[in-house]
Amino acid sequence: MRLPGTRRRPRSGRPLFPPLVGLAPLALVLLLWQLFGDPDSVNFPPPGEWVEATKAVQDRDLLLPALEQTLAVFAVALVLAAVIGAAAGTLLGASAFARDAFGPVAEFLRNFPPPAAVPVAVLLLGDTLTMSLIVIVGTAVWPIILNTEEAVRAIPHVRINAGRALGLSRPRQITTLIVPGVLPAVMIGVRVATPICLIVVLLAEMLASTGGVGHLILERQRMYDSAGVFACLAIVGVLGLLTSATVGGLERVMLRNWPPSHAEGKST
Amino acid sequence: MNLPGLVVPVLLVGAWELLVRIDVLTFTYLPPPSDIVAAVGGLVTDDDLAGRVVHTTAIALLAWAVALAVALAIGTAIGLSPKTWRLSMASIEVMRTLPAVALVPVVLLVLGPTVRAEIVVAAYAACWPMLISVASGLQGAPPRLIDVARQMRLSKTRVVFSLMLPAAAPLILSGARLALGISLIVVVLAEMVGNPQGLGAGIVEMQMALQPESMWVYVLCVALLGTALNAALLLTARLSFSNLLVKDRP
Amino acid sequence: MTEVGAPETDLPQARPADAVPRLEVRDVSVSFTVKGKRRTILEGVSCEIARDEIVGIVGRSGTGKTTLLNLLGGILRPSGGGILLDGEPFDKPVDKVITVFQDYNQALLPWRTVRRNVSLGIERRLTRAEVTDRVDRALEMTHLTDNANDLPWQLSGGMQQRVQIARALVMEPEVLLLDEPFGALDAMTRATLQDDLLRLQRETGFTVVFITHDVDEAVYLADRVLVLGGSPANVVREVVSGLPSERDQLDTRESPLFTTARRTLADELWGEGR
Repeated sequence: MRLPGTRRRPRSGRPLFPPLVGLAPLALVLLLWQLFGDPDSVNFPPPGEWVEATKAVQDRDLLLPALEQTLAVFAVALVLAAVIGAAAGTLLGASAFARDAFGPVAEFLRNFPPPAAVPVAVLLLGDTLTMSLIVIVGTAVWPIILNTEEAVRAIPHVRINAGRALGLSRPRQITTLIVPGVLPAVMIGVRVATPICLIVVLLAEMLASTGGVGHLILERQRMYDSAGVFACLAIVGVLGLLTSATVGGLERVMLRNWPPSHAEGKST
Repeated sequence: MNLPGLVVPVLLVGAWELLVRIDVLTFTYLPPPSDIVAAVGGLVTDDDLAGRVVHTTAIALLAWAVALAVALAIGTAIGLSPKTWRLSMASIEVMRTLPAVALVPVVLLVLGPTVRAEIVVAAYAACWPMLISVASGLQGAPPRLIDVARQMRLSKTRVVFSLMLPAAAPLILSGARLALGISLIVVVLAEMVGNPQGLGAGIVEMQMALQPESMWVYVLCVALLGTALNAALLLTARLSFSNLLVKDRP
Repeated sequence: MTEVGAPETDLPQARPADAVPRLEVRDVSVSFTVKGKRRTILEGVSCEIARDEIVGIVGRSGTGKTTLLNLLGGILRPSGGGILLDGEPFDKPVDKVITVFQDYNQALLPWRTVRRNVSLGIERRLTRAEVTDRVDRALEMTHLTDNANDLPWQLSGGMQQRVQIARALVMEPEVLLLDEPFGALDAMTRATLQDDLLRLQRETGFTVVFITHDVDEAVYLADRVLVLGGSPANVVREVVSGLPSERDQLDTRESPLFTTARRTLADELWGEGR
């Protein structure tokens, strides 16, 4: 006889990317631009020119160092934001007093516009990478804090009681029940923070003179090198796709044991 | 009444004032809060503070409105037709991950340092979160609701306007809030690196002129403006669509 | 002893005859302070539970059934009085007493496979071989061997609840406490799991205390049903059905002993003037 409840639900998840056929409109625009665009256009140089401009910039050894720096700052900032955000979110989630006391300040800081934060940080800390990192982490950390806080508050009481009933010590309750329990929220926060982090990295590079792709793109604009600007834009676009895909893939690997519903998160 | 929530900011500002006054915090460009407040008066008379606030607010709201209109149209088209979704979503994903700040130089290059450039770039950046929330809000419409509508033989337009869009209202509102925040950020950025008007330009000018008090005033203006616009949007939405947003209480 | 608990039954006379009860609740009170107001949930509760006994606890919602069960499990400390296990007082969770909760999806860890969920309580205390051995046995007893490597959320509710029971069984408990264990399941699954529980109890001989809001389930499973009532709550009634230990979903439920006990319980719970 079949036992009740032997039916199994299949593992499923959110697709990593919509169907690739959807890339057609974008490809078509670029193709038409290339075919019918004026190669000498001041404002809208076709994609072929972008490649030339990329080569020209790289020949002067400007591109790869800038890319390297942007990616390094991005990675360090995202890791820092994840660690700080998870810790601060756990604190805020676990303590009602901390929420009351720091909630309004946090709300103010969270809404502090990053472009306005860069000049302040430059004046205070100088044109340094440390300054950039503080501003970037300070912006990217919020989705991680908010998601973690909510997850800590949502840990079912029954789960902790079940752990206690099985005789788990307090440290073991934290490592086996709480930390893995908030991991999905931290990862969702990191996923949301990834594009924000990249944007603020570029922003800081534009507004402070610390180099990087953001600095390069503004420099190209000031020299009216439109093909160079579009080239940088395309590179930044690829960077955005790659970083999001990497973090999304990492999230899927880390959360492969979680029910699919955990894939949703807060974006603000 | 959240007493600790009031006490902590007051303590922080107080500590800032005190530590700067007794020379413990000795950053060259960190004025005490009282000096920042004192600088407001001078800026109102000599630097047209009010005019800058109005300029930045107006541009941010205008760009936001453009973004809402475009996003509602495209988002509805994508949310209602699975075919459109299939054929365009990947492109939108790519365009969306393109960091909007990188577009500021491009638009400034093409349109020059003008108000139009500010609006175009801010509207572009702001339309993505809105577009995505409209599309996914419509796609997530409860199937039961559609069944009911079919039974009542409502026309397709009525289904969209009286059932699906209202059902997606909380999601659309959160998209609109994100869009407003982004619009303001991008406008300020465009003013900082391009069009020399408004609060963004004020921040840069005061930074160059080494007048940290005045710079702080503009920075705080931007921060307050963001909070105020968000609050105003929430309030308007609550008052106009109170019946749709019961689930959206923060 | 086939006497159905009559209305005039006094608690002391209804006590089981064992010398040392497995569990004893001695004059226990529980009160909480909620927003400055002191609320007493239980006051002066006393009862005894014998070895091999299956005891059900029923009562209207909010009367403190779960509070009483948490006291028995050592999850909650009484404000007054004491809980004794085999004559020894205790006030924190012990391995001999394990609780199974109603919300299986919250009590199980969604990121651990069935096997790793079951091993949760013993994995750091025993050698790897011992853990494997005990987990295998518990999975076999609960018919979960084939699902050892599945994740809980891939299983039906009934199977998830069996995972929770298996997780309790590996601890080799002397007392199994169940908080509305089958409340969230459909009728068919519930019947199967009721019989599974009775079978496991016969095989291993542990004491069972369970909460239910279902009068039929209380009578079907239990040797003795305690009715919790009043505010603050106390045991207001005890019903002994006197059913034989071999039970059957159809025959038992039609027997006069069953219907009489059920009627007595229902009258007590819902009042005669319904």
